[in-house]
Amino acid sequence: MGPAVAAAAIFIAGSYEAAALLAPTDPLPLPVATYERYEAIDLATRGDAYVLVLLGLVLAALAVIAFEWGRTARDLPEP
Amino acid sequence: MIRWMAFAWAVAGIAAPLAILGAWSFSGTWFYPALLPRSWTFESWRALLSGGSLAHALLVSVAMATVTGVVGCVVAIPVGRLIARSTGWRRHVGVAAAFLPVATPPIALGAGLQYSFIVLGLAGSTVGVICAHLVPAVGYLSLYFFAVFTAFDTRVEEEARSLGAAPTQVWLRVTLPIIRRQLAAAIAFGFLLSWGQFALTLLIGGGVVHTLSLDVFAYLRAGQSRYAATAALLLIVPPMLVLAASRPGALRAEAP
Repeated sequence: MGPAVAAAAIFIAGSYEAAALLAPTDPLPLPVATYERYEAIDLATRGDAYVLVLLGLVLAALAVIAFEWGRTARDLPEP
Repeated sequence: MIRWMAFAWAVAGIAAPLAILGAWSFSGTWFYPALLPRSWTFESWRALLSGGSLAHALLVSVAMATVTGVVGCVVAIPVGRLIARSTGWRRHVGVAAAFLPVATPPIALGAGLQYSFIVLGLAGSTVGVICAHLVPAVGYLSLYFFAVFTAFDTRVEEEARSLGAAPTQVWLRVTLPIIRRQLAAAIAFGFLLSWGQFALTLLIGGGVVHTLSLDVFAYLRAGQSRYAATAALLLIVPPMLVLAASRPGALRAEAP
């Protein structure tokens, strides 16, 4: 259950389309905030976008580690 | 009771949204609080059949998804096999490396790839978008083939080699026939991964490469609900066809 939760959580956290269309929240979801800063006309926001990109990568790496650790620890079948 | 709940779920979760999309794609004027459209039109479907931008986006999406599915499998088969044959920490690193591009948010992947693609002259081109789609697709398909080759009995190949078969003959006459159903499913998965890809297409395509998922988004943002619904219905059809086609194969594979 744990590895599946980690995988599902990171997929949802990284999903752009549903967040952009259905969730005009404040603060913005990570993918939407990243895209808005990355594609903004003001190039000064590009640095913020790369910080958010790195944050997304770190979260993904943590999810991968959690997935692989959980799969091995519980001796689950291979994905 | 459970059957009724499943039926209610199917109606609420599948049939009702499809019916609303269908009604929307044929609606002329449809404003709140009217429960049904006040007038009906075939405008968006006519535009699709007359070879407009929707038809072009459909063709581009089908072509890109097909290439991604096939090329993704060609790359992922040796990778998955290599991970399946490795042991210890190499296996863990291999699985993690294959899973990372799948888990990474597509926006982050696109931002990372965009600069390299601009330098290589691939940004804003169909080839570039296919290459970008291949990144998560190869990761996903590598994990898939890792599972396939973990369960694969390599003694069959060893036997063929001991009888004098060349490596190519072993692959074509022994391995490929055994994994053909899994290969077909993998091509379908690769197709679907590219088919639904939005963020990577948007960033790498730079608005030049038009796919169906981009068109749905653009029509929605522009308030063109009729065209958005038509494009969304088109977006749903291939996954349903792929699932329908793969189900009999899966049932045959599960049969004792």
